[in-house]
Amino acid sequence: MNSKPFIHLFNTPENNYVYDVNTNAILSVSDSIYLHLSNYLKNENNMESLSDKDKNQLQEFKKQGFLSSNKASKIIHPATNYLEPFLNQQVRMVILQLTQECNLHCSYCVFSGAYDNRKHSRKSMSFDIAKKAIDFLIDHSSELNEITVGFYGGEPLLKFDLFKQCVSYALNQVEGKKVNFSFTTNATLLNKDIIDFLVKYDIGIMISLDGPKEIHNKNRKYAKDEYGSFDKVIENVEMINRLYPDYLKKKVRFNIVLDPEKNFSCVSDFFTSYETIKDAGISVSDLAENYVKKEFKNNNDFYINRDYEIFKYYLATINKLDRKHTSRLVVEYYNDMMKNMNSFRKPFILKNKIQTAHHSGPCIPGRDRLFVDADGNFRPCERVSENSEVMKIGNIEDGFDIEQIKKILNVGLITEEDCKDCWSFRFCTLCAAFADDLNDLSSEIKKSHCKSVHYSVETQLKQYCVLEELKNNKQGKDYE
Amino acid sequence: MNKKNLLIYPFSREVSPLVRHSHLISDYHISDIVSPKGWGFNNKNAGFIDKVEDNSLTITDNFENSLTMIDTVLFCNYPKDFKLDDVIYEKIKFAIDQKKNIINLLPMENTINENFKHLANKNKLSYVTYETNKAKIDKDLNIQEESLEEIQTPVIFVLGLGELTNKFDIQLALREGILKMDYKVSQVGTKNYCELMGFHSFPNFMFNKNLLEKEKILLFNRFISRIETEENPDVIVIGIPGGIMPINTTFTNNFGILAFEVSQAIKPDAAILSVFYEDFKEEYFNNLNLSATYKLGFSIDCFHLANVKFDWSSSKLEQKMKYITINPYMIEEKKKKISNVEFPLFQVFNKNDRGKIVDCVINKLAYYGEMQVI
Repeated sequence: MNSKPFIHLFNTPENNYVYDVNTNAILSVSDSIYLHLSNYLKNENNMESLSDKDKNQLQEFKKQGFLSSNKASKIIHPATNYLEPFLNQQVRMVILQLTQECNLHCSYCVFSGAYDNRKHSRKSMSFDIAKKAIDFLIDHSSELNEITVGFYGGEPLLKFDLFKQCVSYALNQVEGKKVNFSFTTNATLLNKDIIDFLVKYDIGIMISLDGPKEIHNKNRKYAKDEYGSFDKVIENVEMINRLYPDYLKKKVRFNIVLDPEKNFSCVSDFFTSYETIKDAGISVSDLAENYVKKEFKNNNDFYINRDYEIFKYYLATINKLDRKHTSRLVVEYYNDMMKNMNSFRKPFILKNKIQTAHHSGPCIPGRDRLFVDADGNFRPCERVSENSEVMKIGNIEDGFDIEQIKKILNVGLITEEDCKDCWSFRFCTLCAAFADDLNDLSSEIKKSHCKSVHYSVETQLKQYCVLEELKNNKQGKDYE
Repeated sequence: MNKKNLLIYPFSREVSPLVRHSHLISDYHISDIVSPKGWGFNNKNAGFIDKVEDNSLTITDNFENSLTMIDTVLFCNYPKDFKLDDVIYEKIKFAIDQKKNIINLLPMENTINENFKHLANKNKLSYVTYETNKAKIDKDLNIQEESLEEIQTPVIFVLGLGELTNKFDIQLALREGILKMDYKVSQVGTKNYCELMGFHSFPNFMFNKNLLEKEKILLFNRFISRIETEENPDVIVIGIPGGIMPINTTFTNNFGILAFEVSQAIKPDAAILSVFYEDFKEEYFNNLNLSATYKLGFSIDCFHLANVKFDWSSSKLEQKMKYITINPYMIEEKKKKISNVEFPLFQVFNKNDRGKIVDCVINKLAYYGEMQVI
């Protein structure tokens, strides 16, 4: 029987730490204990070389419930037994693929041909299917006081009439319940009428804008002539600002896709200095990595610059640097790290051993988001390939395919033995999209992502501990 | 006596127990149940909301069409976080225009209620608000003395770990069962429409921010004492709203303050605690009993397993208490797996268990009755 503690060892320049998987706690330990545990995990037991003080410390840890060797004996997602009520009563959001057509052909678009996914087409959703999808959402959200209808494409504004019909229909079907609307747009088709409508119905928009002109236009070009779309986007953003400055402040966000072949600092400076958008909400995404046919080129300079900005932001959080010198592009990264390491990671002492578990990462397909394509097929979200058989979770006529949803939810089963042994399972970010070979779930594809998850989680652990060390700088060490 | 036809709006889980136990309503026959549009209940049977069997009525979302054959409309509370004020005002006006009597249990400003009352009376219609301030702070509830009045009649408490633990269904099951045994029961319930069924709604003064906690405890003691004097029951059943303790440090559940105050005012002779559905371990029930014993001063006689589960994951993510209603058959499966629990476990939506809950507490009271202490 394996009695080795289920832990992960890591250190910062100043200290040694043990991440205790069972209790989700981070323990600060001496050099000697660190070395001892490290050797022990490598099957080199050298208890005799430990001092009495260290032996006592280890005993105390064990007495308090730390350093347990317990691991889950079975991988089952805890939501599995409740899928039926979740899907019958708590569907939160439906995302309608109004059209597969787009007036831009962005080079990194998942429908550009560079991904194992459908390509751009003229296919559009009928109002009949849209209505059925909205009715489906209403019928399956009886325990919720708030639901969301999202619009997707292609470019949703190419079907603005359908968009309006859907908004009007949804609002007329509901009393007393809040109906939110959301969509992402390339913003090239915005005009006064559209903006008036969005403002009237308080519809938030996410505008895709990748940075200053040269950077944005590198990837985001019109389909018809490959001309860059930056000028039009900015013109329309300025129009919103002129007509409805409050709406711009409160309901408009910008989505930035970071291209590693471009200069991080240029993008960062743009979103800090461009007057109209410097205070707007932003979301930052990397190029989509799932389903890509060819791996991206790595540009070290990009990552060096980005990591430097993260470092500067960390200094600002401990008042060692004025925030005006930091990049807005890394705030989300910091917030996510703190959410993982601080808000969500609440250490606890287990009274009973974990028997079943599932790694973090999967959403509850269909409940959290329900993507409905133009033909009325259901998928867990808009980020999975529309060519994938395994990601089909039902359709508008037959409803949910619960067995398929169960399979996608329990993606950990395909790598069960690895996941049981994985120290970072509480922070994993892998869902079924990371295991999709279009026909089935693939353990090989899933495992290919594990190393980067481990790296990312360990980095977060280290960064969090360094920040804590700096905040608690009791030794008055000079970190300057 | 001919019962009047009643329409309930908005029909939700706040009022679904009333439909399940409509035979307890003396003056009205529930003929229509109407939910607001878009709540997902249209054309579903009355039991759909709680995932239980109740085919007595079908829910509709067409308020206007449902008014034809009814005499009275009951406007009642609905789950918080929904915003129905404007819709309700319109519906009240419409119902009055259609010459229907109104019972309005919704908290509304006096002026609004007065306006509706005036409009109804002008049309020779009745407009009733069941004020739960029957237990007004008046000279009958004298709290100048700080000592507690002793309650001689056996008292049964129905408590829960939180809201949505089927407490009201348990209270109604107890009422039915005890009445069937030909005992006279006085009751204080956790909803504000209990007067329709001939007993008392939980008194408003217990939520009054202008009263000291000590005053609330004394008032509640006097309130029960007055019920005992006026009604001369064989047994008193008291449902206690809310939960008896925090869920955790994030979801503090009003810290169980109300349950503590009631437990200081009255000591029960029997107590039922309803818990959320969970992956129970056997020691869970022992621990809850210990907690109740030391915190509230009485032990738990039996546990009720609600068909509502606390949704830990969504609650953590959204920083709001979230729940999921499950099919009661899952509870029966769970009961089989935790057979070593030393407390009786019941589930009120299981027809066999309903009688057993009543037997459990009545047997306890009967046991005390055999010991005469003077």
